[in-house]
Amino acid sequence: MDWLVTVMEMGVKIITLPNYFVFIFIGLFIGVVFGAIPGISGLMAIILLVPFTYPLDIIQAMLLLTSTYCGGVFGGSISSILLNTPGAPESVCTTFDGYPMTRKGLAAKALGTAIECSAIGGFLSAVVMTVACAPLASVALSFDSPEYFALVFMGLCVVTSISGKSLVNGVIALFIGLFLASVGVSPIQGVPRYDLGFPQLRAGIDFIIVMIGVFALGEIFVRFETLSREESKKIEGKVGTNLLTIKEFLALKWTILRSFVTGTFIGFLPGAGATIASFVSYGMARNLSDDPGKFGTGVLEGVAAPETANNAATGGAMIPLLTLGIPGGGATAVMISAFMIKGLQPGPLVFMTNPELIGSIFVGMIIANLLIIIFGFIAVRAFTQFLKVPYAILASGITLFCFLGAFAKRNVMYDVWVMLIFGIIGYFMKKYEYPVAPLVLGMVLGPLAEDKFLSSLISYQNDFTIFFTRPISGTMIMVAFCFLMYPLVMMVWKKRRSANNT
Amino acid sequence: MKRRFVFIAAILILCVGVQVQAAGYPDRPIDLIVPWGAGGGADQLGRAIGPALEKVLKVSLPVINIPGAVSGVGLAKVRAARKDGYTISVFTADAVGADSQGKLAVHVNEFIPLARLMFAPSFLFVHYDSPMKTFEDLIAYTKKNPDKLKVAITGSGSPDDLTVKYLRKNGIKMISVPYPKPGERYASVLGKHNELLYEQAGDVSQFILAKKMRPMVVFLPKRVESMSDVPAIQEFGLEIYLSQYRGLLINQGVPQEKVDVLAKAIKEAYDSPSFQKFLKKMYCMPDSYMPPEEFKKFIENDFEAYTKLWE
Repeated sequence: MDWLVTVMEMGVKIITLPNYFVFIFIGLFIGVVFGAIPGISGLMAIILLVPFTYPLDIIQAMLLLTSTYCGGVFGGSISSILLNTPGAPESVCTTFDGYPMTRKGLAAKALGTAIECSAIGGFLSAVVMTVACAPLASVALSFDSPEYFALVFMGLCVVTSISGKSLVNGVIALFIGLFLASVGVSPIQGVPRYDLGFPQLRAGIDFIIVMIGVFALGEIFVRFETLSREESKKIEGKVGTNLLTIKEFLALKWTILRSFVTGTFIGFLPGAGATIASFVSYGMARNLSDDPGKFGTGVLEGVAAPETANNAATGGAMIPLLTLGIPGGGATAVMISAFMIKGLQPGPLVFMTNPELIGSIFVGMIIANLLIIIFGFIAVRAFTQFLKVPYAILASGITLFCFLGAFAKRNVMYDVWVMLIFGIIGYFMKKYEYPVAPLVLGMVLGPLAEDKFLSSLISYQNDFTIFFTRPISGTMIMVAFCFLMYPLVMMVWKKRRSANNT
Repeated sequence: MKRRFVFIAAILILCVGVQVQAAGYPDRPIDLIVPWGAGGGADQLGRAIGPALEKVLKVSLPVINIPGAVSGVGLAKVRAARKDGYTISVFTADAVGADSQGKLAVHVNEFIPLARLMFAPSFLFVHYDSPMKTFEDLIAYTKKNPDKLKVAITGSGSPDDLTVKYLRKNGIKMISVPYPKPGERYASVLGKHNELLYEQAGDVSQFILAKKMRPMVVFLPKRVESMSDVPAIQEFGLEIYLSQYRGLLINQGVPQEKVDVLAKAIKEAYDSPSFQKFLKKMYCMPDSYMPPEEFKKFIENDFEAYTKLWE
């Protein structure tokens, strides 16, 4: 109980002291803007902000970074919905239904849904994290390599939900992604693979670069081909935001709740993160829906599920960081450095000795997620103006950011060439109806799957049954098989029904 | 005539411009690659030396974590980077161990060492709640139950791996499980999936202080002053002292002037009070620093020692 009192006290303090509160504002603003620009991500914003935290005190620094993090995850949905170009892998799922909504003229509705669901997911998970961080941390610790592998495997099986028209093409794309992920030095044994003698290839192919290429550049190539036939000046829908009606919200409540639980749960496991959370939530929403066939054509659930989940994962990711000192992903890893600059090592010790600090981080995230609603409106209003710009001009701007983003990753031209090549690959994939999302999914999860699979086997004397006999791992593998079998079962059932009808 | 004059003048100005550029190194941010995951010792070094160097060089040094393959993935990135002096990397003894068996994706001698910054002995830690409290307990347990205990290590071919193999040869049979990301390595011990951890004290000092882990033995000929209740491995008649050292390196082929600028700046950063405080916190030896030439020889000697151990 003392703990909750501390949290409340810190909450009052932060809200009443403008020199703390202002950092939440700044962080959210920067996060949303960076997240929304295609080719550049919220993570990049956090990395760039760390040097600016040197003169701040630790609470101010953490408020700034955590709200940038929350804002960045939300911001990614804006470019996903409006331009079909996710800024980070966790926003990939939002493109599936968000962009079709934009093409149908429902951009305002899609953005409104994204704002509300991001805020709800983030807010609830921050509350859960505040109340139950210690028990959740011990749940996270109970996960060993087999459980991680099962989780990653579950993420991979979502391919059946995100393949669009052809499941076979989706699976092919996934395997290409897995293959590309295996290029470079293997994580456990350190053996170079498929490097063809080039040191650049030995370093592997960066999935962010590939993502910028296949999504953003590929989309531009495809649109350019049809541009002359499009009515170029026609604005796609009402510009602005359109909140959900109460009826729509009630229809979505289970989707939101489910995605929030999935997001928080997957988010707090170190190393897994928001990407798996958003993919799995999307897959669940689709499989449990009455009409899965509609997914991908622009349905509200398809935006609500990944947006709730990826923001819920932000709260979850803070749990292992603050209670154990273990970062769950890129953003939290950067936050560790902000701690260390102040001479603090996050972990069990700080958690016990410095409850004010931890409490204020939690409160800061709760406030930041609530403020997403306000910031979301402002940002969306600004960014939707871009839809008024003719696509030819807009596309050249996006291309510029693609090049910038690819180059900024390591400051080498090589990455820009890789991005261009994948832009062309993306164009042909889209043209021949091979979905690009499974390719990115394979590239993100491939290395994790390999690492966890091998360390499980080393750890349990090459016993393959370990994935099925451990309770948590076994359950997740079963869910994964449900994901796999579901479309087949549906297909058989539909055939039978249509046979009966005739 | 006038045009020719303008032309020559332009060339002269260009030359001056080029010269100024070379003298102005560094004039933009330098990537500081950490070939290990966030949260571990290599990462902490990167996060400590980065800001210290920033004060000396007046450019920022963003830390980029590229974990995997006993630092091979990250070092391969350094090797592939341009030879313009804008990519430097943290470097750990693990790479030497792996390279000595041909298990590193690159070769250590393909780089120019800049400085040794940390020198710290390694320990074997056990989960605090474990029924085994001392190294004697461990020996007794493994005699009865060979291959039952699991040690979390960095990767195959690392000093961790070598030490566990050496212990195995001497009758202490345990399985080593590799985790390239230190966070996951510590979590596996905190979650009791592995009983033991091979690590340097500074990396896990917070877990020692929070009574989550207990040091069992230090791999040194003599006990460490600051932790005098922890026995040295030699007391058990075993001789394996693969201490961890960490430093900085740069790709081979970077011009010597730039290497000199960096080496001088690094020494200055090493002597700064903030970095000295960091070294103390990490339980490092006070004579950790080594200049480029000396460090190069040190690495070569170490490489030979490893090669012998493997035979």
